[in-house]
Amino acid sequence: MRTLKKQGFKLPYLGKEIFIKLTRMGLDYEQGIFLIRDLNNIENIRDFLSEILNEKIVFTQSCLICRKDFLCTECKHYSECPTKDLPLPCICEKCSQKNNLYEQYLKLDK
Amino acid sequence: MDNLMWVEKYRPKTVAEVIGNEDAKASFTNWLIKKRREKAVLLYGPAGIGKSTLVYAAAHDFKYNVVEMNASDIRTRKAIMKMAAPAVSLSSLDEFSFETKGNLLLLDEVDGIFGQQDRGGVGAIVKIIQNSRIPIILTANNIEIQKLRPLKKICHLIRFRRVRIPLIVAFLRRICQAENIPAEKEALEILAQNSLGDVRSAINDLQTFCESRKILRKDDVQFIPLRNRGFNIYDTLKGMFSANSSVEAMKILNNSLIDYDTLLLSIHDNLPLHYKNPEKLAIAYEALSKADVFRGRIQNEEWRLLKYVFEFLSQSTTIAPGEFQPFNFIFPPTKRYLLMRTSAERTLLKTICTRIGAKCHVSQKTANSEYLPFLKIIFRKKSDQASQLAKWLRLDNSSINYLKKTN
Repeated sequence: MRTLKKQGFKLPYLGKEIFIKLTRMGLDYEQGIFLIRDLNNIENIRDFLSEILNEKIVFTQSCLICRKDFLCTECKHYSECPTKDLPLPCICEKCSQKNNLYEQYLKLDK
Repeated sequence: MDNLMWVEKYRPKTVAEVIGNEDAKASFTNWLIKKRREKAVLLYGPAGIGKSTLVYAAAHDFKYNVVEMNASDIRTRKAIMKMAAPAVSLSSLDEFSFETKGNLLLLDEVDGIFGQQDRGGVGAIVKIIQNSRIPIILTANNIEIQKLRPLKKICHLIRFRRVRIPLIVAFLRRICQAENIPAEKEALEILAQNSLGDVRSAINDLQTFCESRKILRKDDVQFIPLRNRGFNIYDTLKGMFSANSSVEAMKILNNSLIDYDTLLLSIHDNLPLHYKNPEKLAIAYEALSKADVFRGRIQNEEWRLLKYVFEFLSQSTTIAPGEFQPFNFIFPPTKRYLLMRTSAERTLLKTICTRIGAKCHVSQKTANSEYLPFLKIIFRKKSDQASQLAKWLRLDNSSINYLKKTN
């Protein structure tokens, strides 16, 4: 299993064809780092990366409240989550315990 | 006020109050407030996740008046032009007001525009978008349908996903606090999990369970029936190919929203990408062919045979459980592309066979299998006889060319 950071990640050299395909699918490339430009197609990007790297790909999650990175496997809703392992904003287990979570969510500069 | 549905009572009024889909929200508000490259935006994703709510919330935040046309309206070409054309072509007087920026057209659930009832609807929308001077927002649950292709080309697409469980729990808890109903956290989590990311259904479930209760406990919601949520083509294919047993694959098949024929063709296209071992691939195709035989026997009547179709389909994708490596699924089925490409040729062939059938008193099928091969040879090798035959059968130039050129 390979964990890729949502904010940007490095990949080994995979050749020109694959690079072009990845950029067409919705990744940007800046100074050696791949950035996710278009989330509409993120499942296909994940599956394609998984296919070429020959290992399962998971993206890190970032907590909307405390801004820390975490993995989906740390969440107790992992098996029920409809968008598990995709790089979408979420709330970490620690912040989920807070009582005024919705009020904090409203105050966020999203 | 107490009789209000909670989904209405607690509907977010501002963009910040809409939970989940942060990137989609940012993309949409950027599109709305900045100079728009595309005149229309198409928000798509499953039901109950806040697409229409976001439009109303953004209209509130950025001071637009929403002119809405939804699925309950008849959306023929005429009806759309009558209602939307004036709204998009004329500058509203409101634009000169400090209180509002003018109109915004919302066409809700555009994937529901089809059939005889809404004839010409999609074409009318395309025309309106091209001539529009105001922002146009379309929403849809499924954009994979053929009819929406022209809209996808001219719209800015923004995908909405199911809302994550912790966010739904936070929102449900806020409702309970506002309604003064103490709720156990586990109870809210069960409701959120059961909603599968659909906020609307989670709120509806909460309201149902809170009625006539002063406190919401885990035990009250523990046996809530699981929602039978349909899977789209991507989820269906992924679920079936990654299933660890045929029973698991069959469960996914049972909840799929895709029609059986499309699914059969899609599995057919994707099998070689899944099985690299030729022997396993052969076994998978064998099972798939049996599924196809049973699908043929069902036609439109013998639905009791459907269980065999499901069984063989799920067998075909689970020959090697645990060996699933993700790959890009081929969809729509290649056969559909082939049929689309050869449509003109097949129409021509049918015309020729009809002419032969009428003259020789045989069926189109017989004309195709027994007469046409000889006609093709005559047209290629005996031009004098060919011209007589063409005259007798009253064939036009395109038919003659077809007979001359095809083997």
